[in-house]
Amino acid sequence: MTPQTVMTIDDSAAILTIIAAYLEDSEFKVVASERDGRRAVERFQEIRPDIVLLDLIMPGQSGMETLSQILALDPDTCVVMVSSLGTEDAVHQCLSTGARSFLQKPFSRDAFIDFLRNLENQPRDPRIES
Amino acid sequence: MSSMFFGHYLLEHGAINREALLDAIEKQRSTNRSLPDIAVREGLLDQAKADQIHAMFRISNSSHEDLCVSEGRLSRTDVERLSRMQSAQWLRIGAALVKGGHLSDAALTTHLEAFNATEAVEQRTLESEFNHLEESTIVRACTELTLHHVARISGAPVKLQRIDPSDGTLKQGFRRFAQNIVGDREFCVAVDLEDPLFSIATRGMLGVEVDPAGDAAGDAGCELINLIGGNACTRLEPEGYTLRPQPPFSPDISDPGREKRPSIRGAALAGDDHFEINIFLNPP
Repeated sequence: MTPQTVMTIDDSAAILTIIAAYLEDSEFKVVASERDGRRAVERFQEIRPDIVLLDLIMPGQSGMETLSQILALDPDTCVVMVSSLGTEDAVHQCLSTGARSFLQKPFSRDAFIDFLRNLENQPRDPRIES
Repeated sequence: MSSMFFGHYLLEHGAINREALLDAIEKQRSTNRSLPDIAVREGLLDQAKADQIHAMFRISNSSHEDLCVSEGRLSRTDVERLSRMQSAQWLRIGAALVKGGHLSDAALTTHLEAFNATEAVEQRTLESEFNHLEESTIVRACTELTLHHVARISGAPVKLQRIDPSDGTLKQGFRRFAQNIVGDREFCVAVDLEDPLFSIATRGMLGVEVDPAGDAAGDAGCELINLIGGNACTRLEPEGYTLRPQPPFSPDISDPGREKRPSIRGAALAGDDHFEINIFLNPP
């Protein structure tokens, strides 16, 4: 089975390292990691990964701005927002802007991989649809 | 007087000396085993898998029991059996001191009763101090989450000693990681880690030793306060707050006395190491 390609965007090198370790030996392959939103959008345009894991709270260009720019390039991109913030408002804002899903930190490897596996079947947050 | 571990209480009251306490702690370390380690000894897990579970434990909210099931693929029945073995073997500090000949059974009983009575008073005092603080709901959420995440990442027992207004200065030998929170209230939450604990925390977060002065260690500290701040906003939402964290940062530590702003400071212990939580309710 061809691995699904993943791009991770987070200002924290620690989180990029942890996510890369989580996805080792899985069906997901990290093809790019970026710490800056602006640079990440350029890189996204070059490599077009299957999944983008995007930190919400970043210095400089925020996660929301980065999300909008990636979706402007390709509205069908599967972008998952990853944040320690899991408030209703934050989740609503991300999903209504077009993120596929929202994952709150901290999370274990098993929960993380199950989450990625279920992305295709995952309905959008019911709070958004209602 | 402030809340403390039983071993520190005995030391402070002259019932034991420092060497006796260190000997008892060493006995605990060699006797007390985590659930994954017991599973390795019982042939149910390999060491690599146990190491992976320990790493997951430090940066997740799951219990060792749940991680042994989800990551180690152990059955619930096996995990329950291992938990019973762990409880039966667990050596508490008082028993370790008696075992080492540093304290008699009778002295242990007497001191333990006195300690429990003192601790009950300290806990009531702490509770009262919390309730009388400005923005006590915010302070409580930030403090409890700091204790939770520092305990996870350090693997050490954690205890809040006292909480009171402070001038917010960063003490010598500590590293500060901070995050501004905006929304219905604007405040800054900071965690100050004593150097040895900072090294333990970065290793816990990253899984490898890194240069404490390097970028990776700084990132790990920022991620710790990011978890505390973000999770606090989420936890406070049902209380009616709409809050949002801003990117975490590490203030300049070259002049610890430079920053003097009123804060609510919680002083805490992780094992033998100190850490503090500062909540600045009126950030500039």
